[in-house]
Amino acid sequence: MIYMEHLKKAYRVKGKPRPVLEDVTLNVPEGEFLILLGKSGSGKTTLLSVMGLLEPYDGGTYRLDGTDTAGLSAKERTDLRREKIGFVFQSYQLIPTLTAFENVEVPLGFDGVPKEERRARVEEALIAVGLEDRIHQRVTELSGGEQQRVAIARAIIRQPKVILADEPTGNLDRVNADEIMKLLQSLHRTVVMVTHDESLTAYADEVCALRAGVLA
Amino acid sequence: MKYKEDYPAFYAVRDVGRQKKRFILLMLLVALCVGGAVFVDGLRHSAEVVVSVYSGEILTVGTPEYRAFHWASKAATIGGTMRVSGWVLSWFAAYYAASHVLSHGTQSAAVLSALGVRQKTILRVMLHESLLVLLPAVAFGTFVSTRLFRIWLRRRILAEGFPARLFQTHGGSIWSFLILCAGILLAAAIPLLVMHWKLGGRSVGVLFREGERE
Repeated sequence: MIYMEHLKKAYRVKGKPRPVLEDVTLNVPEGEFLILLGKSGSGKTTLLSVMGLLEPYDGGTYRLDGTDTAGLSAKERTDLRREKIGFVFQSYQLIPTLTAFENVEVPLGFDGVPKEERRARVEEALIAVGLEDRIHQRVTELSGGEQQRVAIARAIIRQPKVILADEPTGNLDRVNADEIMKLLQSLHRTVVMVTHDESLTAYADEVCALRAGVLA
Repeated sequence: MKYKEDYPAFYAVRDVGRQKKRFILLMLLVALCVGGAVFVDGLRHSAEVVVSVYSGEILTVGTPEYRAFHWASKAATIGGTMRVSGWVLSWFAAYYAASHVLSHGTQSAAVLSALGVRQKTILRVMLHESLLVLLPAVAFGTFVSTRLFRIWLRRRILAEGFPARLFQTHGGSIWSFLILCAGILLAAAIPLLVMHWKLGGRSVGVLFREGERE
């Protein structure tokens, strides 16, 4: 599903290149739950951004579900991201003035899905994440764990093949963190999660450590 | 399948980026600067008409025509100088307002990018949001200023005994107004262009990382 070979990425700082990803080779089969461990500054979020086609890369190969991403235009990257990838962020990134239902509905609105179908799919997604009683509540009225569940529902609403999660439990207590991890496990999709918390590795099928831009 | 992006994206940015009190203050700031620019341009324009009517003529000191010409000469100079200051202030106010809209809309724009909304749609939506703040402010500032100018000029004419038939009270010149508006539109676009340039081919979605670090 996700194949990277000798991937390189550098940022330009004051005109000089600063390598962030030196040599990343990775193969994530379909359905695998991979955790990328790394300290702050190790390049794990950059790697996730490259995987999510938000950042271009400078060298190497990256194939997503069989599609070679080299040379894709911005529009093609966006379309591929829309079809294949769902994101879960550390700080949920929900729209605070909207309800749980409306937040999950947003991606379907972009896709022009008819109203009745949107309603059915959103309700199904929110029930799947255990929020059947919170569907029409404003997200600011929900707990952190509930907000992250809404975010996961939004991430899966388009049935993407890949979920990319950037420290999804970073703002949660232990109990909620465990619940979110179990939820991510239950999605039966390819999940790549970035974290610095080694205690969460028990939930993963595979664990890789990123140190100074190199995958161990 | 054709994707309909503009409508929900527009409201998503609006709903996340908007803080009502701050937006109202920004609109008032822009309205004040634009109103000031329109007022002084009205003064300049009205005064220049009077000056041109009497230029080259011999006027008797103390007559209403002489006093009107003398006052109009000074008003034309002051108005002409302050007009440019008014433009510049308005453009800075517009830039500040647009930058504020952009900074507040960036995080939601980053989320939209991650959700698969195209970059140019996001930029278009953010420009719309800036214009939503600026255009009503310009309209309001212009309308109020034009009304105030008329009231003020009529009172001045009555108080000083100037010949009222000489003075136009409709406000400034259309070309001045167009220059003012063109500068405001450019000022609104600059923060977006700068952001687009800084991204350098990257998606707006990378900005969510910076937001999370903050």
